[in-house]
Amino acid sequence: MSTTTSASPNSYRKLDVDNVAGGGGDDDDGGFDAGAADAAASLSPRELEQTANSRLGDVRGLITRGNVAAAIALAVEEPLPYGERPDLKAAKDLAISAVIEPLTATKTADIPNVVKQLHQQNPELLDRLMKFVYRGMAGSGVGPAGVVGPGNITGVTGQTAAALLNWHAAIVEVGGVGTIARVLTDRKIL
Amino acid sequence: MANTLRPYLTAVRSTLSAAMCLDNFSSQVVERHNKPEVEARMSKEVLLAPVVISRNENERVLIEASVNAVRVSIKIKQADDPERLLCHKFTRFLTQRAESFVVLRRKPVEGYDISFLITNVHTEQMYKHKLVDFILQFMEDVDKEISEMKLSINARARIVAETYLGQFIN
Repeated sequence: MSTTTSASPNSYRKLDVDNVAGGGGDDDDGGFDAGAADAAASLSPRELEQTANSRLGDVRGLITRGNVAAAIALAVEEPLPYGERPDLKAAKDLAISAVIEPLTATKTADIPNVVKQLHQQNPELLDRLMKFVYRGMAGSGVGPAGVVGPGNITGVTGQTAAALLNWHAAIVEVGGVGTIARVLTDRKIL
Repeated sequence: MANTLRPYLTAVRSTLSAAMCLDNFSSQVVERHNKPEVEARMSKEVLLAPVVISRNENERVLIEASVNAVRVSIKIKQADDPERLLCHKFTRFLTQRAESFVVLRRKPVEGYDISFLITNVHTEQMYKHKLVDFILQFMEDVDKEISEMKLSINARARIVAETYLGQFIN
């Protein structure tokens, strides 16, 4: 990747500073991957998968008890498997379905109230939830960073998409356009 | 299906307004060049996360933003062969006249039917909200246009068949 020492005086021009700054260096994403600085990066893919798996069970329990707001709040809790490393895929799929399940289980009329609850609890929850809404709309067979290539299009069904669109509208209503802007600019890609 | 059109367009509208926050930005790699970063992809720190908004399996919008350009790609609904053909002809007609549409991209992004490339020059010369309106208007009209054309094709085919087969009766 990057060579930090070289004889040529201009070698720093070829240095990929993002790799150096990111500190990760073990992926081909060039340092902008999955905030190497935060807690999730210290966990192994195995641990993240276990966390996501047990969380999926808890979330399902909360849905059956009818407490959707708590289910969503739990599902978007850190640590989340960010980044584009292929070994994170299993953990990521679990984490995404843990969020999408309560979203699709909610009745359309309840959505605005749940969003308001989440906003009162912690406005950051909405930002993270919005990230999942976009990720959910991108479909399950999407490659890293939401890139939809011709080979891996599976798409979402009309019903899931309709639910997610309702959530999108409700979140924008409460959080404003800023929630979308924070999803766009966030480097922690799901 | 008409009930999901409204939320779909609302989502695209709010996402586009958030993404269309563009500024003049010279290339960091080539001196004296100023390219749309979303196309050049030379420095990844100026690219934003791409987002997909989908209505169902066949209809979706991909919005890729960057510091000085945003690329909007639309996948138009194509349920059957005539619609696929009409959609192809229609988008081909438009993209061949891309320079008169200013924001139209000459070639759609892979997996999509038609793409727009809006750069900071466009947002400086035109109103941002009108640009968003234009994309939304296009998305609404293209479905209408294609279903209308499909109906008129069917009507014409029926008349042609009637006239042709009618001569065998007498």
